[in-house]
Amino acid sequence: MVWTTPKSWLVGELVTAANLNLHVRDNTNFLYNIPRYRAFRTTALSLTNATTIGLDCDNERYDIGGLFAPTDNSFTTNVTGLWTMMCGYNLVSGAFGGVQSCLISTGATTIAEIMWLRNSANTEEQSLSVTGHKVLSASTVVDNTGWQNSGSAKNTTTTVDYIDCWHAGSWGGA
Amino acid sequence: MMVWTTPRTWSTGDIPTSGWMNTDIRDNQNFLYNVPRHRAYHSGYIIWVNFTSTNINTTRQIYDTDNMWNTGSSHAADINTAGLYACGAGWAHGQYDGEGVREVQAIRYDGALQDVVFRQKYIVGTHAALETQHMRVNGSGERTFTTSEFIIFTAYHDAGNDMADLPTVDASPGHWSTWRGV
Repeated sequence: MVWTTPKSWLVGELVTAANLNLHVRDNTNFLYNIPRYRAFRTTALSLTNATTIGLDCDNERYDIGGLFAPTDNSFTTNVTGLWTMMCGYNLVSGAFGGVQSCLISTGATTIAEIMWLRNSANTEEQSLSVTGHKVLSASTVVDNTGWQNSGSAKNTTTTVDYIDCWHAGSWGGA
Repeated sequence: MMVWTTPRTWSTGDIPTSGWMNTDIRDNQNFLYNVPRHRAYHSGYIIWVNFTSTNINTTRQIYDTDNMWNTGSSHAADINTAGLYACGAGWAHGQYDGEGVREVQAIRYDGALQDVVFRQKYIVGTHAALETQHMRVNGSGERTFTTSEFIIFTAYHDAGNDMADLPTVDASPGHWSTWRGV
């Protein structure tokens, strides 16, 4: 479904079925069923030490607008407007420190990033996610990446209800 | 900025007028299509004072469709249209060996500080030798607001010394919000 700038109605104008369908029905459906997707990964992703790794996802929960095509760490906007984007991953348990980060970007331009220094004394799984918000043009490619420097490669988990490795986005206005 | 008008209830025999079609259909659709929102960031270096809650002041707006951002209260979003808002904020600092808490949060303000909308808070350990990575703090949440309220965005840390932000153009330090419904 696409958005059509709503027409300005004139005094005395005959209301036609075509105009009602295009300007009322289709626009209402567009606002009710906005472009959106959520992708996730079904296997472990290895985050190489001190290397930017794409959060490649191989499956999707939903995708309105054909935004995502597996396997990929990106999605492509299909309409211009305000987009909310988020991504995250969950690392396996173990005693290791180092930095973990999660980045949403369009090429070299950062949209949102979270980065923290992991406590090496604790062994629990650690999960991080970030949310960004930006007006983007149609056909913009948005990348989702992770990074860690614990000293060796670390895997994401594979059992934590679709948040082992994931990214998502939705259109929210012009 | 377009405003929302409660859609009329149509009656049998109504002959649609151009006024109804424009106000109840065209203008309401345009409101839903172009919702109130803002995004702003600070183009320079903010000093994050140790052990002190610091406003995330901003110097530039990237967009602002509802007069939500102004330089006089640049650490806040002014709510001019009531409803549900998603909001977020972030800040950063360079390499630093100070262990301690890093925090970002948003608070509802109606003349006095009220409830916290979101808070991201965690403890950063000591950097190992040659670790030069920046720390980036980011959080988001949502809540309903009434007109004339504000969303206040603040940062906090207790790393042991004051720290300078490491700005990222368009992104950090900064904050954003968007209307999502009533």
